[in-house]
Amino acid sequence: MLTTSPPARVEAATRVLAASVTRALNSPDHPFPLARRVAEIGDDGGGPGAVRVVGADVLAPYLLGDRVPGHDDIEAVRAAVREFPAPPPAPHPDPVWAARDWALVRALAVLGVDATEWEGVCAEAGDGSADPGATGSEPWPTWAVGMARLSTLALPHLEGATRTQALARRTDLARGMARAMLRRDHHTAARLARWLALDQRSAPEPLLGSALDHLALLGVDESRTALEIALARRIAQPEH
Amino acid sequence: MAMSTVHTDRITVDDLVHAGENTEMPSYAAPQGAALLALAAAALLSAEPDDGEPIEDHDEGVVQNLACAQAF
Repeated sequence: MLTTSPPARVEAATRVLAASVTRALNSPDHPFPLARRVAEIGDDGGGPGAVRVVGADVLAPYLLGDRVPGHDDIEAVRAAVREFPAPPPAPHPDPVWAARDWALVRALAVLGVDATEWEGVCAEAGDGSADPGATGSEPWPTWAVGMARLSTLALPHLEGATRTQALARRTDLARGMARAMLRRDHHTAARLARWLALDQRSAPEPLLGSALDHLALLGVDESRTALEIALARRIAQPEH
Repeated sequence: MAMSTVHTDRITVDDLVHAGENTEMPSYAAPQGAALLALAAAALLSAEPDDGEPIEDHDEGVVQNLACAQAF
C-alpha cells in the first residue's frame, strides 16, 4: 500500500497502476487481476483514484487481449466511479469528464457490462469533441492538446465524433506530436502517437514507428507515458 | 477516510484528468508563444554563433525548432 500523503498519494498510485497496465499489455499471456492490483495500491482513495485517472485504459488488457475480467475486477471499477464521481452537469457540463465516462461506459459495454446507470458516471456522458465549443477548425496546436487530453478515447472499440476528427486531421496530430517532442513533453507526444496508431493501417503515418521508438527511449521512466506507448504499439498491431 | 482527505483526493483526480500539455516547457514553444518564437528566431538568425558552433544548435536548438515549424 502506498503511504504518501495526498495529493502525492493519488499521483503515485496512478503511476503504479499505469505501470501495471503497461506490464499486462506487454505480457499478454500473464493474468491481470485488476481488483487485486487496486487493493495492493490502496483502497483508501489512492487505488480507486488511480482507476479514475487511468480511465478506460484500465480495461485495455481485457479489450485488447484474450483476458476476461472477473466480477471483482468490474466491481473495483464501479467502486472507483462511486468514490470519485464525475462533477455534476450543472451549471456547466465538463466535456472532458463527459467524454472519458462515455469511453468507460462503452468499454465496459464491450465487455458485457451495462454501466449507464452506475452511481458517479457523468450524467451527460457523451463523445463530444476535444475542447468545449470546438468546431474541428481550431488551430492545430490547441486542437492537438485537446486531443492529447482525450487519449483514453483512442481505443479500437470506441467509434465516435472524436475519432472521426482524429481521422480527418491526422496531419495535425502528427504536427502536434512533433511539436510535443520538440518541447520534450513526452507524455503529450505519446498520447498523440496513440491517436495516430489508431488508424495507422487505413491512413499510415510514416513518422509513427520512429516516434514511438524515440519516445520509448526518452519517456520510459514516466509510467503514464510508457502506458501510452504500449497502447499505441498494441493498437497498431494488425489484429486490432 | 477523513472528509478533507476525500476532498483533496478528488481535486487531485480532477487535476490529473484535465492535465494537458506540460506547461513547464520553454515559453517559446507554447501554443500562444508563436510570435515569441518568431522574434527569438529572427534575433538568432542575425546573431554570431559562438566558437564555431553551428547556428542551428545555438541557444538550445531554437532555430531547429523554427525549421521544423516552417516545415509544417
